[in-house]
Amino acid sequence: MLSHVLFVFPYVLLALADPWLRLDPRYERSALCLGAGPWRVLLRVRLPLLMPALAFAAALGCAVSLSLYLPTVLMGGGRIATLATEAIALSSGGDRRIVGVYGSAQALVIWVGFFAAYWVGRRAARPAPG
Amino acid sequence: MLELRNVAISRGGVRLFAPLTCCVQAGRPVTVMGPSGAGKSSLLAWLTGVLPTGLSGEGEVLLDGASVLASPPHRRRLGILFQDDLLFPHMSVGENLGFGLPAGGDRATRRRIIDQALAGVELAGFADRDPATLSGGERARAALLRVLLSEPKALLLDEPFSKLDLTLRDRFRSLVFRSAAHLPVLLVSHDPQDSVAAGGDVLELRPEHGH
Repeated sequence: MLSHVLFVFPYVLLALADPWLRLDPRYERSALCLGAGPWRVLLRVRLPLLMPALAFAAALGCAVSLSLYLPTVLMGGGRIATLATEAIALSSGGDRRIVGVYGSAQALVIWVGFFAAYWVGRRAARPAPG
Repeated sequence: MLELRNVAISRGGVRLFAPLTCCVQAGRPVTVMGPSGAGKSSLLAWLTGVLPTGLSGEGEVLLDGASVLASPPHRRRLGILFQDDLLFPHMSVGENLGFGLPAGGDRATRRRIIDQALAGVELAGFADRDPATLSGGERARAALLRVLLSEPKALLLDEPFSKLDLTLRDRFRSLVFRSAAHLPVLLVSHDPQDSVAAGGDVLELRPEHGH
């Protein structure tokens, strides 16, 4: 698991760096001048404003993590099985149908991740109703 | 009362304008005029304690007789309005107003304060609206309320009228000066109309002599 964090981190960082730096600094300046302390500004203004970007970065991180093969095998000493390692192990076996199922499952999980990110981003960008 | 004494902003050791001294009293807004790039916005950024790196400020700033420069930005009690309303898009109009409202009071009381404030600027019933559904003039008024509800001791205006169209601009301008009449108001602008409407002293930011 930890080794995945190591390999996924650069992708997440790249996905997040631009929105993080691009956020209009005047939102936070406004919040500070309204009397909100730095923590409140971070939790109630910066993070919610960046929620779409955060969700996307998280989905990207999951996608990368799911498809990692070599780090999983090498650092897991071959003892840890993921969808990616199973799919590749099976692909040398020859049963195309099972490989297809694994491949599709892998794609589906990644799709679900991105869809969830899209949904979270859409929700976060709007005020809660009522 | 907001007092600026020999205030200047420098970039790389060079002052952007000659040091400024002025005294802003409630009901007599002071306008600081200057072309864009003269350091107007930097001046307000410095006053509120969020000057970008690379710039430095000097001088003394007193609010009701006490220096504000040692306080962190969120304790300075200086409200600010920018060119854009900067309503937080992830909060409803009411939540935006409540964000600046000082802590205390139960939910119902806070809600009543917000509803009353909204009703006072022809925005009655807007508390649950998404700011994105408001017109430019409505957003500007909501932003003004948000600042006023945070109970600042002085109001800084960073050209908040320049993006509104002409008819809206006049109405919003008089609303701002009317509703902030109890506060010292410092306005920076490059629009001479603003200084006329403000009615108080006008200071010109000029490059320092001898450079």
